[in-house]
Amino acid sequence: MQTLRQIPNLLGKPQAHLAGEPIVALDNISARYNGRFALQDVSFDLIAGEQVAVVGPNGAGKSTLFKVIAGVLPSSGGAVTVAGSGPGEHICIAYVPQRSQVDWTFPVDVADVVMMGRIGRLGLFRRPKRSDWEYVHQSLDVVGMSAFAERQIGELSGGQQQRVFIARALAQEAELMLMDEPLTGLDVRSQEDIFVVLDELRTRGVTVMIATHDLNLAAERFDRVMLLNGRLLGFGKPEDVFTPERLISAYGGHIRMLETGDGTMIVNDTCCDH
Amino acid sequence: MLPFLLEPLSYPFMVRGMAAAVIVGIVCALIGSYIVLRGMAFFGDALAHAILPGVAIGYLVSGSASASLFWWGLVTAILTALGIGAISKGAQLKEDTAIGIVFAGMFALGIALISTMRSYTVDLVHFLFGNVLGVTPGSLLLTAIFGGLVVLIIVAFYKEFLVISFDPVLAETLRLPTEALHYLLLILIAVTIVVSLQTVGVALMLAMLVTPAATAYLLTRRLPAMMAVAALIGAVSGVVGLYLSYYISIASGAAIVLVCTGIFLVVALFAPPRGWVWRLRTAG
Repeated sequence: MQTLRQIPNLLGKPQAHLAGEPIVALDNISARYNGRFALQDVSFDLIAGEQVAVVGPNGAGKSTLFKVIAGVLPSSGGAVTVAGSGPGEHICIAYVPQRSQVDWTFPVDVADVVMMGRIGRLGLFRRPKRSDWEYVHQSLDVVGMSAFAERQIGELSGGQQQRVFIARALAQEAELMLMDEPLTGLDVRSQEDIFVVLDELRTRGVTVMIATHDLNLAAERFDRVMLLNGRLLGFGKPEDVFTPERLISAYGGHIRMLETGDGTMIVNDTCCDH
Repeated sequence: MLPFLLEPLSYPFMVRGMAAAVIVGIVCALIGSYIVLRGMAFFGDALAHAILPGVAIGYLVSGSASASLFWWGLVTAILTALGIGAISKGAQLKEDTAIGIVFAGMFALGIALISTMRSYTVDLVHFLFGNVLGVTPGSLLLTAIFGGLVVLIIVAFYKEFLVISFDPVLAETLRLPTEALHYLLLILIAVTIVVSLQTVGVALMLAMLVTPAATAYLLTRRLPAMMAVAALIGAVSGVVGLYLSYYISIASGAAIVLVCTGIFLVVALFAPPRGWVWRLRTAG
C-alpha cells in the first residue's frame, strides 16, 4: 500500500496554489472533438472568485472548453494552466455535467453522489470517515438539499438534481466549478434556487464558469460573459460583448434583437433542452 | 421434507456441485451488478464465448484434467478481455461490431478444435452448458480461491468502481487512474467467467452475470443493497436449480438459469417500486 501511495497522481495530491497567478489561464488553446476542431486559438484569463457565463450556439465548444480546463480532454495546441500548473495536477476542479449526461436510474442516493466528490481525497482502500460524512452533509446544507440525503437521485426534480451535483462539487472542495448548462430546462423558481447557491459560492470565493443558452440571464446576472463559437468572439462586460455584430457572427441568422424603450432585448431562438 | 432435501446431499458430487453453484452465483451476481449498470452485457456474453478455443486447447493438450482447463481458460479470458478493451478504444468500426467479430471468430475456432476430438458431442455440451456435477475437489478449490479473490477486489475498489461507472468524467477530475480501473474491471469479469465455466458453461454464462443483478436492481435503491440481493438470488438459484435438476432430471446449468429467470419474472411483475403491476397500480 505504501508503494501505491508514492505513484504520482494516483491519489490526486492537491497542488499548492501559487499566489498571484490567475486561477485559469488559456493560451492559444485548440482542441478536437469527434475529429473536428471544436476550439481554435482560445486565450483568456480568469480572476479567482469571479463568475463567468459562457454563451454560444450548440456545438460552439462550450463543453469541450470545460473539459479541456478540467484536464479531462487533451488540447491539441496551446497551454492551459490552473493556478499556475496543469489541470491534471489539481483535484479542486469540478465539472458539473449536463443533466442529460447523467444516468438518473443508477442505484445511488443523494448522499452517495455527494460522497463521490470526497473520493479523490480519501485515497485507495480507505472508507469515508466521519469528517467526510460531515463534509457531505454541510455541502447539502449549502445547497438546501439536506432533507433529501436519502432520496434516490431519480426521484428529484431537475433543479434539485442540479443542486445535488453542485453539492458534490463543494464536497470535492472545488475552487473552480465548470457547470455545463445548469439552468437549461429549469423553471424560473428552480433557476432562482441555483442563483442563490451561486451567490453563496461567490462569498466562498469559488470561481465559476457556467455554460448557458440564455443570453438574457447571462447579461443580467454575470459580471463577465464569454461569447464562443469555436473561436472566442468576445469576453468582458455583457454590454461590450453582446453587440449586434458579435452576436450575429456567433449565431448567424438564429438571433433576433428588438429595440425597446429601455434598450436592446435579445430574443434567442436557438434554445433547446440539451 | 427433510429427507427430501437431505437425500441428494448424500452424494459427494452433489455437495461439491452445490458449493460450486453457490460460489458462482455470488461472484457472478457481484460483478454482474457492474455489468448491468454499465451496459456491458454484450461484452460479458462475447467474452464467455471467446474463451472456448482456450479451454479446447487445454483439453487437447492435457485431457479433461480440470485444473489445466482452468488455467488455459484464465489466460485466454484475460487476453481476450484486454484485447476487446483495446479494440473498443482504437477501432474504426463501432464497438459492438468489433466485439461481435472477435467473439464469433473465437467461438468458431473453439468449436473447430473440439470437433477434432472423438467425444466431440459430449465435450461440447459440457463446455457450452456446464457440468457442475462433475466438479472435482481440486477444481472446487480453484473456484473458491479465484471467486474469493474477485469478491475481495470488488470490495477493496468499491468506491472507485462506483465512480468510474456512474460518472467517468468525475473520476478523471478526481485524478483516479480510470484506465487502469477499467481494465481491472474487465479482468475481474474474465476471471469470473472462467470460475463459472464448469457450473453453467459458456452459452448460459450471461444469465448468471445479468439476471440476478437485474432482478436486484428492480428491488433496491442503492448499490450495496443491490449487490447483496443479487448475491442472495444467485446463491439461492444455484441451490434450488440443483435440487430441480436432481429430482426432475434436467440439465443442471439450465435448471440454475431457469430458477434465476423465474425469480426475475416474479420480481419484474410484482415487486415494488419498479415492478410492472406496482407501476400500473400507482399510475392508475
